[in-house]
Amino acid sequence: MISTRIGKYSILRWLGGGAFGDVYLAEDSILGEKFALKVSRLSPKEVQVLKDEARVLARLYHPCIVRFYNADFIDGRLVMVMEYVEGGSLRHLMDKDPPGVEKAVEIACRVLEGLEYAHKQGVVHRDIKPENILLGPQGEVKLTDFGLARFLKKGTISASMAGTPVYLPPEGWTGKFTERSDIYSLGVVLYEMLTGVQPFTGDSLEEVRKAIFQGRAAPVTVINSSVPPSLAQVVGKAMHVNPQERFASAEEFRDALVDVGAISAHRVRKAVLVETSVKEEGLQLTEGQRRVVECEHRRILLKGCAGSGKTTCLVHRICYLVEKKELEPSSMLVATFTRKAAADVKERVEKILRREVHEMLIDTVHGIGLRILRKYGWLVGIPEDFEVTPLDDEYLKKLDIKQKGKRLKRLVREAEKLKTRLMRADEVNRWSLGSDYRMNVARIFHMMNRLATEGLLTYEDLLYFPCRIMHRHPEVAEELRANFKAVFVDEIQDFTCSQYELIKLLTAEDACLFITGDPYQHIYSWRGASTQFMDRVVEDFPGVVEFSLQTSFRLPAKVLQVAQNLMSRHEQAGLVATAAKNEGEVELFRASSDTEEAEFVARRIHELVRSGDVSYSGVCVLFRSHFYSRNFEEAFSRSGVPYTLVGMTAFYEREEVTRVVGILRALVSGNVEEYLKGLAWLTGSRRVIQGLSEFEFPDDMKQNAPPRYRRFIEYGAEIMRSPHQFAPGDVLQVLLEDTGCLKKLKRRGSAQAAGQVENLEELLRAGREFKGTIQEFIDHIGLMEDLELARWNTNAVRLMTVHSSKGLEFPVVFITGLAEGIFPLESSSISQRDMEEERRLLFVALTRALQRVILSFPSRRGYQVLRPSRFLFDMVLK
Amino acid sequence: MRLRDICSQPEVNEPLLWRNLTVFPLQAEERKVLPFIVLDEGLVAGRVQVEELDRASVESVVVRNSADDFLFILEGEEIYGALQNRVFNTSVILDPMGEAVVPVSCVEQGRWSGRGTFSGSTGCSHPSLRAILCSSVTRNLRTRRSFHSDQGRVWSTVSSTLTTLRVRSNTVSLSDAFYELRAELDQFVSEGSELKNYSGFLVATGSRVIGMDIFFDRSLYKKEFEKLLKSYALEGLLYMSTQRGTVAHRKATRFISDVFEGETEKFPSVAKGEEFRVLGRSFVSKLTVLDGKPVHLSAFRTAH
Repeated sequence: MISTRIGKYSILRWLGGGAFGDVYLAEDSILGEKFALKVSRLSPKEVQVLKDEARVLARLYHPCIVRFYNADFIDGRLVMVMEYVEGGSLRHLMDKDPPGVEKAVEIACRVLEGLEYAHKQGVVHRDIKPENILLGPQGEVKLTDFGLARFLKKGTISASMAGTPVYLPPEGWTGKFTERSDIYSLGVVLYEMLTGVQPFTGDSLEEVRKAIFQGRAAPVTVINSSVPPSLAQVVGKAMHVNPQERFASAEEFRDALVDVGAISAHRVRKAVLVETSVKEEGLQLTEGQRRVVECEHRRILLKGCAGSGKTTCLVHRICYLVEKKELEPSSMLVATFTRKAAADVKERVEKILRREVHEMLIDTVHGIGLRILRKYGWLVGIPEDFEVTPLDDEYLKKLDIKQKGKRLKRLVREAEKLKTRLMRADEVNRWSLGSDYRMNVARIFHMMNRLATEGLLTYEDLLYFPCRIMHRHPEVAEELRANFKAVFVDEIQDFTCSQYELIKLLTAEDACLFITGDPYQHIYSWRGASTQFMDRVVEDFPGVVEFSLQTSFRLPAKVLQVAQNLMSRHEQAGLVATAAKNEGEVELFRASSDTEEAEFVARRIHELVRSGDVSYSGVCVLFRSHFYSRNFEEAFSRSGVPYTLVGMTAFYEREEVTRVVGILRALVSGNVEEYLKGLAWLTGSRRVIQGLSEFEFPDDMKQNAPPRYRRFIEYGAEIMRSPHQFAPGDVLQVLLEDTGCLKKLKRRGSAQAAGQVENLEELLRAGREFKGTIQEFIDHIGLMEDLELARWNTNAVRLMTVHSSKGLEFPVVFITGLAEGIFPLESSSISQRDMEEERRLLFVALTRALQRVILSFPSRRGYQVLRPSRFLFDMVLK
Repeated sequence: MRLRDICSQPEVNEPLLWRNLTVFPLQAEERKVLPFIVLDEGLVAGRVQVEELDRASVESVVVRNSADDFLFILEGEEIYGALQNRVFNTSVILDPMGEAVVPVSCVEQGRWSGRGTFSGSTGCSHPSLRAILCSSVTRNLRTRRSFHSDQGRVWSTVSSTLTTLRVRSNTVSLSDAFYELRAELDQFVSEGSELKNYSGFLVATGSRVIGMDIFFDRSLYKKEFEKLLKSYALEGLLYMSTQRGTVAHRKATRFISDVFEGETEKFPSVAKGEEFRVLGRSFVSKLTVLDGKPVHLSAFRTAH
């Protein structure tokens, strides 16, 4: 039995059940949205297997497939969160009011659309039956429970309660499922819809099995004479005992239904991908892309406009070198701009190669730098157990700098920029002469270096020190370079000097090199990035061949036009044409105030979702800066639009995550006091650390600890003895679940506690999925970007800055705050160069859209009157 | 006299869900009376015999308790064998070494043949049937001082139960439903094992309370627990396609309040003890009392 509340979900009612588990309608208490929760009866071992499957299922996004959002282990049970489809199953319809021939064929065609899409993703359903075909109130047809049949225990095939397994193809009885098995099962469903009876019956399971294997079903036309013979033949072919005699694909089956006139062609939709987090692989490359991928030159610089397939080419080039040139994945280095991009590239490569590529180094340049420092940091005095942390105010206070608040932050940023420029200490000293401002920057710079030797590194140090090491110790550089026969770099237009230098140092003379970039999407000059490095590639890597892709496959025509208008001073930003299939739409809304603007956006989102054009997760609301999000958060909360903020607070900076990571750090470094303090926080009991100073760890401590906490102290001692032997997931399980920490937080019931639970569960999930030591996991979390979190699987609007949206795409994009002073920022004092970067930023925002862009601007913000952004005139008035 | 004057209301705990059933664990004040054995326990040990009368009658059977402890028979409990399967019309407490003629109802319309001894207990009838037993017996007690039930309604309830559950039964026997659906009923029991830690439970299906059973002796409750849980599970299966919502805590507490505020009618039990019955507008309840101490309370919704 389960509670009426599972995690953050309140159970509203039971929807149905089967061998796998029960399905409940539940409401997410945070989002206010309704979901279908499937609560399984699987054993923990089976759950582990399902988690891999869940990752695949979460990628299926199609109007004819019930969306699978998430799988989690809550209160000891596996709970799967799925889209809730109002209405009932096909079984209910067939029992109540059997569909006629036309309706039956239409339902089958919708299912085939979903199957076609799923099969292309490499997913076989395995359990198609009327109970798994849901019919929505607007006539939608959705297939549910993909791939779950494999988790039924052996022996659950029986003739009890749910009826006989008539939908199981002959090969399915021995566990061999292919796409053609799904074709068979749907054929049986169609048979039943057309005739009102199941094709195979018997008094016992054995009789039914025999009938299936012999293919002994009465002809459809005998039972229902209104069914055209040609249609009956199609059904018969789908249900052939021999899989090779059936339709080879869902598409072929569907085309056959059209060919026999069972359904008119215009009512059959080709599967349209509304949004994908992983692009479809296996699709044909264009001629231009193929030339790039299969180029015989070892060194390639690929410049391409937004949506032209640069990353696709990079992915295919990796696979090409592995498969055709027999390069080992372990000899490849792939540097991406974000960790999410790294994960996406890895996933796409694995899909094409049909194998895992854990041995390939795919990471951001910062991640690569961190790995180098772990091994070689000692050469510049950095301890092995260093941590990556922003510069704490506590240290800045010691410098006794007069500037405070924002001004002090600006000084810190300037010091970081010196690091990105790879300036040495003596160079910084010379640079700082004659200016108090620069002197303060230099002092912060030197403090950062001192802290590094004490094991506290900033983000920029992850690039600065590896470069310093490789410059000072050429033998180390040589050793590292020898590991990589091929180096790939994505989005070089936003590289800083330190990033570029590190890649240059890691690329051997004879290594293959593949670099992508788009100078018109350069938006990080404020961080020290520059497009000059894209130009320097040709000089620094002899033999580089340049390619250019100027057709966008993403941008619809109308959005392309607007983007071209915006960038018309810049040779139309490299955009020549679009190959996107739809025209797209561009809307413009003028609001009387910023509040009205937010309300309009909320209202418009509801309209779009209700019309079925898009789901919440297909909508992105972009703004120039974080501060502009507040109105939207309020408007969305009031009007019930589910949303999630992306990139607002770094994951590792969230308090509860920092605490738990601190405990892990204590375990790895053997810091007993910190571990026990952490344990006190987890258990909520200060008695854990009572009398701390009186005893030596661990034996005396164990004896005097409260009995129920002794095991955690023993566990901690064990880890401290040999941390490498413990998997982060196992340790986090003990720390977060066994101590009762998560349970206590859940019982509080407040929204804040629910948020903390979510973050800790995210941490636990990350730990379980992570393959490496505890120290490596700590590094991983330290670099974790908000973009990586599994919340991509929730059906919620994404709110983010334009910078955060880089590399992403959405069917519908709102670009808000298009007023002077907001977007572009600070127009009165901004330089020409910075203004052009603002323009490029808007260009990046526009080019995130797959279908529709909605621009909005407020005439007023508070008491301040605003003028429309100059960019609006450029975009709209041409 | 109201029920609340005889025993205090139980504490209602947070509900649990199983498919379309919402189950509220109940915690009542422990009032240990005497050690009891229960029917199936006694039959298996050979200390209890249930037989047809010398002149067999559908409406009555003889129960002999040769154990050293009191025998408790739950109302609605089914016995199988003899000439036809029966259920007990009311709860019975029998002395050690005691014997009584006990009123029963037939739940196997299609048989009247076999040996004179009942082989065992199959379990307990589901709440729909228990509600009919309880309400018809209460009416008969008022008018004729008789514990007989409305046999016709019992038969039609058994028949409709078998039809709804699509259970084939050659003799229209209720026990066939328990047998055919044993896998699911066993699952309910295994998943509901934590309910054993309480004194009883209230069950709702969809948005309606079905009924509740409370024992004031925990050890007696533990003995009757499994058969009771299965009986409620069967009820849940009956309403699977029509009743699927969850019931709020306040609805459960309101039902219990109504039961405890009900004006009772006192009757002597079949054997030992007394019964306090309430026939409300939408519910029926019965409290079995021995030597002034409550033993078992059941209550069922009657307006289905």
